[in-house]
Amino acid sequence: MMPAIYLEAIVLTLGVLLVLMEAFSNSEEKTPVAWLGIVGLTFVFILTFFTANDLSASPYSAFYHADFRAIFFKRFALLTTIVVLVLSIEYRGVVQKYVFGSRPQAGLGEFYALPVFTCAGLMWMASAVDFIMIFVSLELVTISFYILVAYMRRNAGSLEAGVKYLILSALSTGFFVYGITWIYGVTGQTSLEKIGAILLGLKVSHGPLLFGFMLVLTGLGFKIACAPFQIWVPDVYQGAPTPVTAFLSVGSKAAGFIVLMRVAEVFLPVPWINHKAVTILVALAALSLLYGNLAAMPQHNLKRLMAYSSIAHAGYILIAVACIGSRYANIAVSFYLAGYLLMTLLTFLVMAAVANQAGGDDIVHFNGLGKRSPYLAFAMLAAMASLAGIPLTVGFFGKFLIFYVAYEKGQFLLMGIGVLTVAAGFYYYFKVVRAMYWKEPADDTPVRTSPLTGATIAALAFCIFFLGVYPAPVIRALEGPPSDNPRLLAR
Amino acid sequence: MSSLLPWLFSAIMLGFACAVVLNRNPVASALSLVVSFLALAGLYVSLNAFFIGVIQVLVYAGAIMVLFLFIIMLLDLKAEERRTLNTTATLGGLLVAAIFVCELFSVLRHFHKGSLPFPPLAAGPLDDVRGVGTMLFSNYNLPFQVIGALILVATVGVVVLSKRELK
Amino acid sequence: MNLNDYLAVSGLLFAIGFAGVMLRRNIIIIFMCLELMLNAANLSLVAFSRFHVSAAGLPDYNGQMLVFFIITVAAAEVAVGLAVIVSLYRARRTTHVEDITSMKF
Repeated sequence: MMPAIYLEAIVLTLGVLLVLMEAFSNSEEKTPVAWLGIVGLTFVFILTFFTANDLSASPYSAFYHADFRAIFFKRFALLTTIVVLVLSIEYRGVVQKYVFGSRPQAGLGEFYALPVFTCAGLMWMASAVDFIMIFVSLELVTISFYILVAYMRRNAGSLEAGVKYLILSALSTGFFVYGITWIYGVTGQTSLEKIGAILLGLKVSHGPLLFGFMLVLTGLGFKIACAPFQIWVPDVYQGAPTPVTAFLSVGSKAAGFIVLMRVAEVFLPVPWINHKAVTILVALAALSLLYGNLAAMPQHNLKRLMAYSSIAHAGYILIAVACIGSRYANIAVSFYLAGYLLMTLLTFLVMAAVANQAGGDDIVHFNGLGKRSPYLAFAMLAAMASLAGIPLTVGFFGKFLIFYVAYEKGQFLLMGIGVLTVAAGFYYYFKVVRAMYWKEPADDTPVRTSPLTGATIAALAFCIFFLGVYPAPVIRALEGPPSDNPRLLAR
Repeated sequence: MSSLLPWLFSAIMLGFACAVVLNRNPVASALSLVVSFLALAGLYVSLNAFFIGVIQVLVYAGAIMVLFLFIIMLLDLKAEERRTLNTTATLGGLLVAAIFVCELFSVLRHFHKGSLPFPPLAAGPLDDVRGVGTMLFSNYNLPFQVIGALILVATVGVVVLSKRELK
Repeated sequence: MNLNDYLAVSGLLFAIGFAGVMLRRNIIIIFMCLELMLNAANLSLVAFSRFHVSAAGLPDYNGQMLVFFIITVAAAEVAVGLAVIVSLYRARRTTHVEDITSMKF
């Protein structure tokens, strides 16, 4: 059994290794960098099953907890990064076109190496239990995303997206930090656990603390892309390179949610905060659901559609966050995110493959995909069905858990809005399906994918159905062994 | 330190911060920001945070602002002529800022602890470089490592984004 | 000046920075205003750190740690941000937000 903290160290070393490999190898071919990254991250993924999730004292335990949920999100980050690297290999032609370079593959090495550092940041964030650690790892993730979003620097869209992401993300950091300041100021602590103890002690001034909590919530709202902090999402998702969009919509959102859950678990049990905080979370959830689903309807660019869909999914997950205190709230959030990972990454993989050939990612480009390459079309169908929440897919079970939690806590308004917006979701996800199966293709050539991409697509599609029918393995990983789970027992 | 100096520094800081927002010429804005940061360093010193004050002058007023000025000169930015303010953004921005300030002052009015004088520090010289340094390299070792990774990523990114031709 | 005065000054600085972000159209100046906001947080932190005096009569250095990290992160952020802005300028010859709205639905 290995201490969990080695995992990040290994990932970081891997990242440094990839950068060095990029810098010192004379080979024109940069794909080995991505291959090494994929192999290395898979190795670390296997290692996560052999780590000790002990909460006992270590030199770092003030900042870093390796509980079962942290390990779950570390695996989540690793899987996402692996798929993003596969996607980057598929997408390399486009990046090549928009980077200044003296050799054909110039600049691709860094494009493969940077996501590994982002992954390390996400993994640290999964374990962070102190505001300072949360801030530092959040910024590692954010700064690497600044670079990745603006990576194609001869492409006006990518640069625009980069600048918009830069400004709005820095703004959210400002709010987040200012909120932390107030929480630290009132309690004299930055560690979540100690803050929780002080809050229950009833000897703090209410106003300033609530003020700080609201500011932190604002900052996190930007990260998880919920309305009304969603203004950056559509443009950034559309302009960024497709692998980065996939990474942003899965990795960045999951990281935001795990921080939000850790913070909410400290603040929501406090009686005088609970009422106000839940009201605000409910409002955010309702707004995101309505805005995301309604604005997605008229879209004809698939990347932009996925942006609005990502806002809508943030709304569904927020329903469960607003219900923290219910026994299954944590599990519902994490399970939903796991399902969201599968279906979103699958969509982006198919999108990248189709866009490579058709030269664009509008829904029109998917016309007749069912005839051109039935295999890809079926994978896309699985992803869309799961995003819409059709039974037998992982998306259905995720939504079911969320609505169950809402029912348990008596959040009937949210349940109502949720069910209504699911119906709206059917409409726009099936626009894609209709294009694939009921429209005539512009040309009949099948879409080519590399074996690696094909295998990844198959694996993701299989998981969508498998976990939709038999979700127990993920649920068990989230519940953890009962003895290991003091928080759940305490409730 | 005399009780008047912090007020003076605050006034300078806020005044020049307004100048950053109001100046049309980017160079003038940047220089106002430098002055504002220097005054802020003065405030840090008035709060007995000498090390942070020095860092503020060296890193912020020194390195970061020089970078800003360098870029402004490199891009040869002129003062803005167009002043077609986007009314919704302007009004919205001012409204949110105003709500924020009102909220802040209402919070401060109820924060009675804050109107007490600062508790006294131990007599004798304040060895705060040692205090900060010891903490940084012992208790805060882990965040410090993460910051190291962050700076590495930033370095790689800046090279990738601005090198004329990558190899 | 007592703690509340410092906090008020810092809040005003934050509000000025935020207003600047909303009002100004030049990306570089918007970026400077963002720095103002981070510095406002730093000022509150240092004031709070001076307020929470430890038993040994020293300020609470935990708060100053966060200030130290914020300054470092801000420096990295400025470096990357300016690189993005320079790339944008090279591609589009502009640093104005109105000019970068090619994506609309």
